[in-house]
Amino acid sequence: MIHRWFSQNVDLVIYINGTGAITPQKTFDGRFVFEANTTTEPILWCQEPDYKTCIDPRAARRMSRVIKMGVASALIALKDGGVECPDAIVTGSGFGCMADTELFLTSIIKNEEKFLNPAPFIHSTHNTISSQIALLKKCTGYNQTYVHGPISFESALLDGMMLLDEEKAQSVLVGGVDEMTSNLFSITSRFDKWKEKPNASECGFFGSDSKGSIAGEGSVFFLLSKNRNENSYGRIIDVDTFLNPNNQFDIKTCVDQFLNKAHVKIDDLNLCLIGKSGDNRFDTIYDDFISLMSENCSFGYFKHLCGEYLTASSFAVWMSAQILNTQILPKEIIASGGKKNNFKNILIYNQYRNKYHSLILLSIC
Amino acid sequence: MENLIAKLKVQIIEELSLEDLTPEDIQDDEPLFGEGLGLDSIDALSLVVVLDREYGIQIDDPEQGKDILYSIKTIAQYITDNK
Amino acid sequence: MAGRVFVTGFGLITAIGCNVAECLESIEKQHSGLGEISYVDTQNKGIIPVCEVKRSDKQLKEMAGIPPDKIISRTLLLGLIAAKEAFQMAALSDEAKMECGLISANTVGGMDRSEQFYVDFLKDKKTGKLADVVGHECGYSTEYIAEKLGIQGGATTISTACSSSANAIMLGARLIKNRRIKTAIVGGCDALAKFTINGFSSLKILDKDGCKPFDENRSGLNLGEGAGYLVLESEDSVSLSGKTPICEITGYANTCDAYHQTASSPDGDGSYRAMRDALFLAGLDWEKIDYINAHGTGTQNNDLSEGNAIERLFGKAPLFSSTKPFTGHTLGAAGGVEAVLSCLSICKKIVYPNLRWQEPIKELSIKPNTKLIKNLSVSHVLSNSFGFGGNDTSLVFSKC
Repeated sequence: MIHRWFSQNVDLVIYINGTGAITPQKTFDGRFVFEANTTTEPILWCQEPDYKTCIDPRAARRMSRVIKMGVASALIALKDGGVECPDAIVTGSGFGCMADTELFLTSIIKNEEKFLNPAPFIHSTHNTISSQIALLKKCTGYNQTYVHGPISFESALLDGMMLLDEEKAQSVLVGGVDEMTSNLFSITSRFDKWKEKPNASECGFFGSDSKGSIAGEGSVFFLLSKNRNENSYGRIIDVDTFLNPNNQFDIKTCVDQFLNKAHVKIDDLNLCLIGKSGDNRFDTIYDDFISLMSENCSFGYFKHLCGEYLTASSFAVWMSAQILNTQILPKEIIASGGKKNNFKNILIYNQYRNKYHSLILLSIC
Repeated sequence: MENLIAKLKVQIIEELSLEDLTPEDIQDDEPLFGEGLGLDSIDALSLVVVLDREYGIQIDDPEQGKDILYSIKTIAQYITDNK
Repeated sequence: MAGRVFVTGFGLITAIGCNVAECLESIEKQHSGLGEISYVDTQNKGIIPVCEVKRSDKQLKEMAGIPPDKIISRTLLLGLIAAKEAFQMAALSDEAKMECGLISANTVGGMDRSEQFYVDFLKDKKTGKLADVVGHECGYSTEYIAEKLGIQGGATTISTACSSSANAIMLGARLIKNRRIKTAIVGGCDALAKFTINGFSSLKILDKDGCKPFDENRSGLNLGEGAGYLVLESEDSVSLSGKTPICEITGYANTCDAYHQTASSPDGDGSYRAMRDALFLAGLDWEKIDYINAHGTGTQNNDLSEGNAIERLFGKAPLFSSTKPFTGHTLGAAGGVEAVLSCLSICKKIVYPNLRWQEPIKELSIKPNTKLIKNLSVSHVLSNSFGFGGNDTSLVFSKC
């Protein structure tokens, strides 16, 4: 097993002061109690706002869908946090702007390298979302984009938290963005990633004993700060990633070290949000994880709501922030075990094909 | 020339994703860049592609391009003169 | 809390050489790597000159120790070769290796293979070799390099266009300075691909001849490919090993121009702030800088913008030049390649010429250095990398 993390300063207190989410649930208006979006196709597409209401149409006209998703959710988070312009913007994305990449690549091939419109090429650059947000808000501070597969969002989060620790910024906008396209779905299908026929019922996601997940997408941004205000949702304590654990013992070691560092005991955890994806080849790992936890801990799921995508953990952080803030556990996360109330500490555990594993710990303010 | 102007307006709206505009919204003499329609340098490149693809006209010199792309009318005139 | 960050190894592969020594030799002979496109199948062959690494994929695999029949991106091969050179040079102890992290950067990822897949895929979605797209996303090459080097201390990938690997170096320095990690290998890689050649061609910012940075008659950039990596170590790590570091990273800064998606502001506001903030962190007055390795792409926009920023900050500028006439613009690798050259400037006492320069930009009063200067005591070097989206990064390297 390779255990790797860029160690965080757990004594640093960091608050989530604003959130913005465009996801396959209707979350863009800040609603927390949402209607579960059941599907008969193996793709959960985002429910998107009318972008004209959030982005200046002149700025938005050249933006492809994922850029609009990223920019709009970032603007929603800033508005929610009462900040006009953040000091820094850090984004994580597994695949970047796929539609623009596909468009330019297709035009190269079909037009035999002639008559090429440069706009999709420019927008295929991975840092387009971070820089478009900066352009709109005239944010001249630190601007970074991480593109490291299933831990892109975790990388962005670690960097954002370190900026606050260094006192290089008072408010940092951190986000995770990924889009699904029909071409990307076709290609990834050939790698056996997706279910052939998902069950229609919302529990069929877990009940079906078959390989593959449901594809998803989303854009979620958070406004982080060391300063608490009346809008603060909760605290982010720590983030950890590790790769290729050999067995349950390795996972336990990582979880123990992670919690010890944060001075949190297993018994202190009230809720674990688990990245179970419906893929029977990899979901048993979560059963091992659940067995590590105490009876006090409830377990809930999120990927049947957002689908499987490389920055899906950002959706879990969003849900955790809402739960910490409202102390309401939505029935849609299909929680079981524990007391299902008095949520002080939430642990998110996500893994991707048993290669990339991540832990994110949040607590109440 | 009038037909060409009308066609250009439709092509520009489509190529530059000016979704909120109709051809009637674009004045023939109105500056396309800076003030007026407010297009930028990336739009200029996209327009150059349109001229090449649709009319076989290539613009390699950016300075010359500024004059040609000034307004719908100047574009139409250049196409007519160089067909 | 803040610690010092030392450079203890570097690795390089560009159009002018397959390792640090070869690249330095080409520079001393003032040989540019510019030539015709050989390894990319494109209509632009014979029309647009590029700075290609003078090795086929097969030869690169051999150098990297990869089996010849393995389908693998050229970006990854270049990265692996340079990263290995840096790693070997640093000669980390087994314990230091265990905790070493990798921060790599690229912009194209595995696009050189994906674009081949897409030709078949577009005709029939059931076709195309899947092995060609396995390595598409940027992080894939980072993880592959990490595995080959036995990296256990953490890995991630940054992609911010032309400032990518400068940002990777900056992150590594910050992690060490903040005592989050003790050693890190940092830098980036990018290979030429049909996608980027056509992308930059569509932007009409490619020079059909050799680029002329900071020249009044400049007409664009030359695309290049390559990889450049540094090994960074903390003060404790260096003293434990007893080694003498090559130099020190004393300053870094990243800012956003927030002016336009591709163009820099005419006054160079973003560049100005990046340089100013990097110098501030280094605790240096501008007069202390002996040499600036400029971003200097050869485009009308960048060179005027960067030139303005240098003038505003330095007044009477120190020696400055762009090394892109030698290596081309290596995109995601540029920051890493030029960081290695900046370190070499200090340890080899050399300042590079800005090739092909003839006439100053009329709006500027500063002129680049056009001579190869040797045996010059170089104490502090500023290296600039400015990317699309106004992503501006400056690094300061100092003799230690």
